Amino acid sequence: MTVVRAGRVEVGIVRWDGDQLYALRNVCPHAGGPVCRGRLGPRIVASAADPLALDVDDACPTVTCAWHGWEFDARDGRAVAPGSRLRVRTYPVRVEEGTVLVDLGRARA
Amino acid sequence: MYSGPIVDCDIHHDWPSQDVLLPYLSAGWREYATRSGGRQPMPVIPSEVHPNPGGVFRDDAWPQEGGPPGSSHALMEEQLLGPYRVERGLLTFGAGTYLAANANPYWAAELARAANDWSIEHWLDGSDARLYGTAILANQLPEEAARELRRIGGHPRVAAGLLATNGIGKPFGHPLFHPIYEAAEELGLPIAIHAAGESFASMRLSPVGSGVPSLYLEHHTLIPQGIMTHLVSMIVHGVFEKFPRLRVLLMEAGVAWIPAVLWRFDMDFRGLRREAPWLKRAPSEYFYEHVRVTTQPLEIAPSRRHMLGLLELIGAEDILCFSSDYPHWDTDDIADIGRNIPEAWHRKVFHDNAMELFGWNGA
Repeated sequence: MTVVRAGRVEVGIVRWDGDQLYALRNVCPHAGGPVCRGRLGPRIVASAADPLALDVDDACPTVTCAWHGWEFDARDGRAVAPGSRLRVRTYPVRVEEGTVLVDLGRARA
Repeated sequence: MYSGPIVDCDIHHDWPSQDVLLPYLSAGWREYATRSGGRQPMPVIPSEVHPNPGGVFRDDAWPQEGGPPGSSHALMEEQLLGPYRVERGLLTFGAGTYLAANANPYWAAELARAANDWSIEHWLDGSDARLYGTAILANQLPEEAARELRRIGGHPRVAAGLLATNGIGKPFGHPLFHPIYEAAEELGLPIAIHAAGESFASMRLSPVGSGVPSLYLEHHTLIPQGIMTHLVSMIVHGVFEKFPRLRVLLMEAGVAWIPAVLWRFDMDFRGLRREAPWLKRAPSEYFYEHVRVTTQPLEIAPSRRHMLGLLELIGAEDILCFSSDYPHWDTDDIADIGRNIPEAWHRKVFHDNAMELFGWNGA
């Protein structure tokens, strides 16, 4: 996960599973923290029937905010914790000739 | 003012003398209990660290014929069941409530069996059709407690398993306790958790966080802490994921603590979910689906407006179940509680919520 700046907007670029790319605004919807300065990893999962068997779901790239540890799904920005409706803003991202392009839309650069 | 039927979820019935338990003990335990030659009382309940300076009973609840408050059905009828229009009452033991405080886990398990048999024979024989009971559980040995719940949980007048004291020094969500919940779910019985059970010298456990209080006033003010601990523990450890049909009734912890705990719990879960990834919903959602709370002792707010605001915050209409705590010193009066909650909620809080919890609708 890399954080880049485009004008006044900071964006975290997530590379996952080789060639999957996601872009998230580096602002946590919880308290405004630098969410993309935190950690990236697979989602930790388990069943209550067997808490010893903590596992990971590699299909779910999870960004953990640098400040309070709130988790967000890198693919759509949604909070991982059940019950939370918060969402990190995400942007379309593509690669052209080896360059990663992020469409900030109307975001002020 | 509410004039409908009442379900009282916390009535402390007691034995006239602990000697009445002797016939219910095995021969070996009877010998153990009486070897003192009658010169010293049988050690049913260890001494409390914080005795109430005025005693724990209403002064007017002592039966003329002797025995402790709660031991006379006639006086209970006169002071509670009749005037309160109790349609159903849940009996939660007196001295026996806290038998899980005994250091000797084998003795505690035998006492629980004896106390439950005594309660069934003397209070739950159907001669007073309003009375239902709890199965007191000596949870020092959770597997034994589960066995005891299965032994008597099918009795038509046993309505819940009762955990009133933390017998192994771990909050009630710890997996060691799960056999009890498995049995309760299997039987379709809620688990009632009664507050204030950690104030016994034998337990070497502080009843509150950060140290042992000195005065009963400290202890009693902070009683909700223990209930908070058990509630958070049960949700964090996934008890309600593992036993999705289990219901819990929190007793005698009041209600004003609920928003503080739930709000913080939900907030912290968002940052610490990966520690309990088996939770599929926000902690507060488990609370509202699985947990109900007795009213007593309902806190006294600076004004009725403040109380109403707090009750609305926690959705009290759907989670509160009336309890008197008769015959204890901090008994709640039905008229007084009625004035503190909106009339539109009376039917639910005084009756319907408990009926639903115990599965009594249509029964």
